[in-house]
Amino acid sequence: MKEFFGNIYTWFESLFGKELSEHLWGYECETGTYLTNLYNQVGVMTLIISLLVAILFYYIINHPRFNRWWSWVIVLFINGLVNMLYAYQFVLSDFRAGKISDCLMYIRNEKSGEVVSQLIEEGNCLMFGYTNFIVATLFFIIISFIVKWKSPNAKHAPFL
Amino acid sequence: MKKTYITLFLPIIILLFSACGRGKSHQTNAPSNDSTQVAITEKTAKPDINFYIENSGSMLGYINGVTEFEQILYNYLTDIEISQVANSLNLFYINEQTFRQPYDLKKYIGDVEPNSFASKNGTSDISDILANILSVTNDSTLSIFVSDCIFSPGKGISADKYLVNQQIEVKTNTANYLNKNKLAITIYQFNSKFNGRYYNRVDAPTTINDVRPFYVWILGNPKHVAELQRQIPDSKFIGEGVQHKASLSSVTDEIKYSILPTSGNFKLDKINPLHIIEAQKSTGNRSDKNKFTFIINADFSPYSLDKEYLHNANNYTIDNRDYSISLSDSRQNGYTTSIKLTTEQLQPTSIGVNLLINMPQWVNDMNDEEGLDIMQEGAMAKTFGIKYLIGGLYDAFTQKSNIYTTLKVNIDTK
Repeated sequence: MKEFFGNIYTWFESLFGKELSEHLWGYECETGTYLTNLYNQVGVMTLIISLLVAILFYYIINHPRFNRWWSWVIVLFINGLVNMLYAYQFVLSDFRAGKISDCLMYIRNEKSGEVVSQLIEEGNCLMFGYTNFIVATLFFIIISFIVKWKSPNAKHAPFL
Repeated sequence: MKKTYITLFLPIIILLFSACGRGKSHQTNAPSNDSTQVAITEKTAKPDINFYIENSGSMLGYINGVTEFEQILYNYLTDIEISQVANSLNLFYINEQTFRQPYDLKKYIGDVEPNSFASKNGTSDISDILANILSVTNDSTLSIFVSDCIFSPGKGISADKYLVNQQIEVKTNTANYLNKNKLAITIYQFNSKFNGRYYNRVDAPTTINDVRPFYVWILGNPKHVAELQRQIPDSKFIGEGVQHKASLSSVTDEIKYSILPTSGNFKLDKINPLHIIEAQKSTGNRSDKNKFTFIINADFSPYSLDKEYLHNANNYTIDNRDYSISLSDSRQNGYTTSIKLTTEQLQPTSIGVNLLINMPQWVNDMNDEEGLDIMQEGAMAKTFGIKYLIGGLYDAFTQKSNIYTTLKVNIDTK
């Protein structure tokens, strides 16, 4: 269960890179151990946001004009976008604050210690954002089909 | 419609900005290595350091004129004083007896005169001197001993038999000490001008003016020896510096090591990160294509071994013949050595990487087996019987095991 969210995100690990993935698992180079699993933080927040958006759509807005598949798709997209920005900012703040362990960030010259190459760039953070767009979309689809049935006016969106 | 979308957007935007920035929740729970290191240093009491220079007749040539011997030792003693690594620093000359000297580094070695340095006794038995020094070395006293380490069997004594007996004596004295105490020994070899009389194995003198080796031994509790070398690393010795080094330690504490998760095609068990899971061979165009590779970072600093030793694959064994090993400095803070293991035969297994207690090759290379003619080619740079002296130490330390430590890793394939 502790690795539930991490296992989902690592389906897409090739998009944002193994090094960033290890950071999100909580790997700490100096101790060689996994500490705080950041995938859980991102995953739980994405799940909560997706749930709130679904509830907003089906029970708060709850308008017959939204009882159409394309209205639902628009909300699906907005949910994905919001979660994409959230995940991007989440890892970018670590990247810029220097919180990613050195062995995951750089390859260094073994004699001089100078950086030979950088393993994680801002582009990896952006790709993690895109990954969370995909994950949030999956969450929203699943949540929609769980919660929509009691909606007075929107339960037929996207279909059934 | 506009109100609908604002109603939709607003709470989400509020939630988003409240979620961004992770505050302190991701601060590592593990204390930094630096703060831990400082805490350990503060809690471990500083040792008294006894500094012994052998002052038998054979040593006079090292203090004739301005020599590297004087400069290196004077600088080293000054560094010990400045670094405040010792509770007290006590100075001695030593041969068959021990002579305490006033605390004046310049008079002791910086500007020492032969008349005040030479012992009236003139000779010394190295194994007896070592036994004497060991007897006053303990958990609160660290000893540093400086000598040319030349055995002197004298006339009419079989040199071969004498050397073997000396090796056994050194082994016995050291093993007895190890049965009751923890011990680390580091031996540095330096070179210095020598202008004086060299005494061969039958005590026949030859006047020489050349460069000769001398040795500095550090003996004591492994934590004190490691701390002294941390405070005054090898690079701080002046002149040509350390020529060779040998280190032994009876440290039995577990060594810190970890697997670099980005060093190959695998994942690590999040609960036990020394367990590789989903191991696969590499693909692509790299040199390790169709091979499985991973890197272990290890911290061997408690053993005070130098890079030459740690980077020599002959000082390691792997209890799985399918794996080859290559070594380099670790690029990771808190680790000394990077151990890369490679195989083409990937299968689920347990691997043990053993760091062996081996006598460095230089000890054999620096050994003069004959000890008769210092003018013989190559003899000037060598020391009569040094391999028996240092060999006795290694015999003592490897009585129970010839392995410093074993790094264990489990591997499961995908």
